Amino acid sequence: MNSFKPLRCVILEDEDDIRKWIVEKLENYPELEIVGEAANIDDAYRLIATTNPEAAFMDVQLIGGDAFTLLNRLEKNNLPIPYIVLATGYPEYVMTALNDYRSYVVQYLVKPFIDNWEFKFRRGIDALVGANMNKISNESAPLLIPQPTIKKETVDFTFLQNKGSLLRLDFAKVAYLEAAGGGESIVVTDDGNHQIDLTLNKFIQILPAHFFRISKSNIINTTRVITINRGERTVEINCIPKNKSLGISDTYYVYFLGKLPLAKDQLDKKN
Amino acid sequence: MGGSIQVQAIVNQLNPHFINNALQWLQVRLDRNNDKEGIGVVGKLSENISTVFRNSRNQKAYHALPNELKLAENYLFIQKQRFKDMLDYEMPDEDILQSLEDVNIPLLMIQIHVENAVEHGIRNQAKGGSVKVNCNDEKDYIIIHIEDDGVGREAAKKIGSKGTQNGTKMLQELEIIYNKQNNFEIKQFYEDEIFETTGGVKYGTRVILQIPKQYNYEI
Repeated sequence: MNSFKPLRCVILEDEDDIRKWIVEKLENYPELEIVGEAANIDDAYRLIATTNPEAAFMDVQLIGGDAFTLLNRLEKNNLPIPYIVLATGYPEYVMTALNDYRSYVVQYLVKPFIDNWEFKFRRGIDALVGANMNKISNESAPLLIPQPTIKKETVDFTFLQNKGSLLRLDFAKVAYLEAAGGGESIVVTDDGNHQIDLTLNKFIQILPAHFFRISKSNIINTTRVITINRGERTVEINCIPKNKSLGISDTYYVYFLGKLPLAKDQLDKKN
Repeated sequence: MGGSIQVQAIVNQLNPHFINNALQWLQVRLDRNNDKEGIGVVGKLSENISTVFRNSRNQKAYHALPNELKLAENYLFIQKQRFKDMLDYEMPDEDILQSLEDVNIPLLMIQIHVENAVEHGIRNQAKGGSVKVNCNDEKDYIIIHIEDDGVGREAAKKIGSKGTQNGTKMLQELEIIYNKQNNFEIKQFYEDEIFETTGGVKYGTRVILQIPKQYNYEI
């Protein structure tokens, strides 16, 4: 976590007692920097417009209008919308959010949520961090050749500088990557391992979207995932000559699961 | 009859958003007093209120078996906080719950018997007691046992403890209606005075529910 800048976060909640409580709790998380709070929709709009936050804890109900009206207004005025942990006392709203705002809302809190709030906030913050990390890796300009469309699924290889020569890396042959220290990473492929002079942070910007960071030490090719052990938080990767089990760290876990094509409702129920 | 329909319509107007927000406010206050028990009780209570409201609004008199078990567990959790050592309880393992997700059961069918066990069996007994709920997969049915070591139905009646007869009667009526259109039937039995002290005093009650895995609840 230490290598990341805290996400600038706003708290939008119409009730003073509850908003203050949320602010107090969230101030203790190093992942977030609280840049403002608001109770009504106009203040909320101005706050987001002026601070351009990366994250928001938001109640559906605000004074003067609901969260969906606010998001519409932001969208209409081409203002960037932060990733949102959405709280609601009315579970039906979750459906609206799921249908219309799924790209922004990364986690739901159904009121009353103070019961076991540490766990719920942890999940919410992990999801915010994960969503922002992925956004950054999607938006950043690719560093290496070939340019420009490295992110597109149609490009299935890239060239990497490797001790003075260029190494062709076929994405389909990559099982996972491991941080090697000293700014280098080991790329584990079906043809053998390559030590490359790039950090995992740089790699995630080069690799296609189906590659995903699961911990400080590893990026995996999600098409190689065989099983995920949710108890131990490990993932088994199809790897030659032998399958490999890797740990998923808390920070990435929720968002990692969110990236996989699995029944999300079932997961939520389980939690 | 007309009266009860009107009352139902009014109850449906009670805004769950209001209730949940009020309980959220209450939980924040409890957290400021570091009252973890209180927060827990409010949380479980709100889950049960939401479950009953949601089904009532959707006019659904049945739901998934794990949800019903959750209702009963929340009820027992709350009562345990209130009555402390006077009450113990056991619920089925989490592992079993997953396999029961496709089985439906009438709303409150387990909860009502659990409540009877606590209110009439255990609370009429000076030393308190315990409730055990277990589920077994038996071919076409899930068999649920709700067992308590309270005073027993006869003794409770003598003490004047009557309670939720309305509830059980209502369930039985519902059961008759549903069973008419199904091959596999919902059934409930009582086994009375299932335990005996060394002094020959009989006590305890076991309710057995037979819930078909395949069952049509749409009337």
